[in-house]
Amino acid sequence: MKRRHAVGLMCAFAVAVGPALAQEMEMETVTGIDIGKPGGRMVLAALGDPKSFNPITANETSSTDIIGHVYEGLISYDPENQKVIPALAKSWEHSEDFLTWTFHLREGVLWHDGVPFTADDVLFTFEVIYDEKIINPAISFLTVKGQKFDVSKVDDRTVQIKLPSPYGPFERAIMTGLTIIPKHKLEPAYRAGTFQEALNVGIPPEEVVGTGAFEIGSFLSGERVILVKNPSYWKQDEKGIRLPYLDEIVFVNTPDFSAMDVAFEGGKTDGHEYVWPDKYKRFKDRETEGNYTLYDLGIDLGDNHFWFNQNTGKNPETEKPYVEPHKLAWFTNLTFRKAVSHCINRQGIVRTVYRGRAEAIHGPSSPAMGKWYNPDIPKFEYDTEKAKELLDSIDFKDRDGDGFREDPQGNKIEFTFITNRENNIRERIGVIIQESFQEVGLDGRLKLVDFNTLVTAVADAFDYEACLLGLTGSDHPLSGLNVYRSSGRTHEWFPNQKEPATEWEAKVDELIEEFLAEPEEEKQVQIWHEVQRLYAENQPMSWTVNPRVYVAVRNKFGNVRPQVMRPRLLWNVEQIFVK
Amino acid sequence: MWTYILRRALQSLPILLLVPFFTFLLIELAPGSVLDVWKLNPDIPNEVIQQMSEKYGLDQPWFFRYVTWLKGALLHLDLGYSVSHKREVAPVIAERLFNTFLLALLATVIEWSLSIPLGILSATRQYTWVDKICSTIAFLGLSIPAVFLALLALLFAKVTGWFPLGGLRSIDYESLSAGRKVIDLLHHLCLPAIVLAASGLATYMRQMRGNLLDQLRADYLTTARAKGLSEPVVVGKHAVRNAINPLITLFGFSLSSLLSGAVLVETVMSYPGLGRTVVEALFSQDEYLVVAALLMGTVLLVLGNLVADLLLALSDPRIRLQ
Repeated sequence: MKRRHAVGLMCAFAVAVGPALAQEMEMETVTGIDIGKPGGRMVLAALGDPKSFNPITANETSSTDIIGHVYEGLISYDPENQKVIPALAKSWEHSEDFLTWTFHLREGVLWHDGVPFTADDVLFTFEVIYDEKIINPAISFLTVKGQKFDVSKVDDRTVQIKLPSPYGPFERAIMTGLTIIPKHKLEPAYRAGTFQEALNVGIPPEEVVGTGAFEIGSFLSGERVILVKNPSYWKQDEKGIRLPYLDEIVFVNTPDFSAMDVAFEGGKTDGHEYVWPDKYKRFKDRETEGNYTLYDLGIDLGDNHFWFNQNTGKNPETEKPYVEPHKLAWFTNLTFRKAVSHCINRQGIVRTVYRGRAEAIHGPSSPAMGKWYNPDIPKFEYDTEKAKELLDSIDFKDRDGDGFREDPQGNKIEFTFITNRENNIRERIGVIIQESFQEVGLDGRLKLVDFNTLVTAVADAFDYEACLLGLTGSDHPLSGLNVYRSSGRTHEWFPNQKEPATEWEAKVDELIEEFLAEPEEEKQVQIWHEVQRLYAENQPMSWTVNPRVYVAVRNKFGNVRPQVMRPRLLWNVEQIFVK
Repeated sequence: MWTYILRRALQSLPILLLVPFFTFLLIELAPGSVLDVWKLNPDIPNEVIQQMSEKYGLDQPWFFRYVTWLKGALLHLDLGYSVSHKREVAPVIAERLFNTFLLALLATVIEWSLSIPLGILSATRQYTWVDKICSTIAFLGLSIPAVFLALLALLFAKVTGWFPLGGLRSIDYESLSAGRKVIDLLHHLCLPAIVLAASGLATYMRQMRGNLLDQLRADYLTTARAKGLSEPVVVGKHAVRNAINPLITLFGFSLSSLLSGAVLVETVMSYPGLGRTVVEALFSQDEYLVVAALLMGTVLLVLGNLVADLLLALSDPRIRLQ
């Protein structure tokens, strides 16, 4: 009761002396950008409605793409230079052993409702994230070796985080995982056990309170979300004009990508973040007419890859092995997998599926990852003669003259690889791969299944032979570590391993632990390069191609510098202005 | 009449119970679950998936979920929780139902206010140019699939710029005056409603024409004419009234078919209706949302048939509600 009273007092105080407080705000001056003028609106298309305004529990991009502009963390990210930059913490330092981190919070920052932001909000956020009853994805970033951080308040402006053990990419983890929420708004709901539902999209927009450059203006299900400018944001340009420049960002709900194309071409939207490579010409040709620029952001972080099911387990109910033993013997044979990699006609896929607007990939990390990418790994280029040689070398030969090879025990080499039918591009990649399989004498057949069927097969039932699928990537290895760990749920070819199945997987697990404990970024990079080399050498999967990424934006906007890392266009939204 | 309505309501109860039952069963039989999207995200820990599965009862057998749902629905009018929308099903449906209702209403008005007069016109002026034009339009409406028509409408809007590209309200809708708001809504509704009405319009027009032609050849009309009744009375009072009976029955079905037709039009034309929500829910296997939406459709079907029967009794004195 006493606490609530104090909050009430604080609100009154903030309203009364709001402008005075704003003057004391420690502003961050953004340098090196074009000076714009305030005002205007940008309309963008979004795929589907936001499902939640709760930054802790939201775990779908339709929500996070929007609330990412409403809430902030202690640390933010500059994708152009691949480095972390200050946000709600204006500076931070660490002890010599990297175990104690002290964050100095920005002075004078206000929540959208005028209440000052303090260290208590940071502590409250950690309390919520660490609560086992709160289902949230952030916790995987904010623990080290499964242990929580010790977070304490030094004073109203200083927070200290003590780590139980060294955590190398700690800054990145804080940047990715920690979004600060307002204690004064959410504590009652949290104590009442209704935190998960507290910020559902049905609540009045003014109840959604963050510190970000924009606040929720209105939401109409199925139609749009309007974000309006936060007039007392803590960034300014070199002339002292407060950012953001734009008054409003509007996200109109579009059901699919072709509706997005139409909305942009028809002038309804100002930007189009999903111009697929096969539509490059269509959009390039109308640049002048539509008064926009099509930006080439380079190769994508996400990819499409092919893998065999190497799960050695058994179905617990029927006691039947997930993969027939003789097939498992092929799939776990490195020479066989190398031969299959030689069958991936990457240039053919680039030419026919992407019309030349994609690049061949030979390892688990995309070249778009910059310094993290290791270009110097073994490559298994498309070469069917080489594939045939390799298959001959392990005595997989056509013994009965039917055009397909048999293993030494006489089993015909046949397998089905699945991909989801909703994805037209993947289907065409599958067809091209299938052709090469036939050519070298492997009876590998493409089977199209529904998305849900595919997920059940690869994540729950494990009753498939091979799969062609894509993952969206990140420009830092910390996101997606569960693909690399042998114990990970998304360690695709053999998930949830209790003990690493192979020596090299054990080695990767070790390297990941080393990576997580290594404070020097240069050494982290070296370790990550080593992980990629091990992957490429052991070909647990065959990587295909990564498409190029294109974004179209009308020419009337200034400071438009889209990046391949999401959010591609709006990462510097506060700098964008109408010319 | 009230006892008749009550009896009909009681008769439809089993349908209203069975539709959710089969929906739960079918969703269970389809592979995958509503958590699939999260299962493929490497950054979501196993524990989170486990917790969600327990929280929403997804680790329970499907009939448990059906019984729990039924209890909630009957005792508390609680339609359940939408996992993908992270909130109660009722407000999710309510937000969209009104939009679909608007669209369906306008489409119905277009369908019936045009099809009956045009049908009468082409029957009474059989084989004249009026009839030929009407028939051509009808055949076009019947033969062009709704998807294609929706795409054509979209192309038309894009090329001419006369109509908005999807949505129901302009971005500045909130700041408009009341009159401008209505105009804005109609402007957005126009194309989707025409597309949705097209096939129904054609069907009912042809139906009306055929029925009326049959009646016009009937002996009792010759009698009426011989008695010296004027042609408008002969057609309007006697022939049309007899010809319209099958159409009233069709009207009952049209309510629910409008809803299913709307799914398509809404998806292609980016209209914020219930149909799109349902399709998305089906693909993501968000079962409570699917159940609630199907229940809505069933209620409409039952209601539509009841209304049709009542109208039939009103228009045809030979039919009595027993």
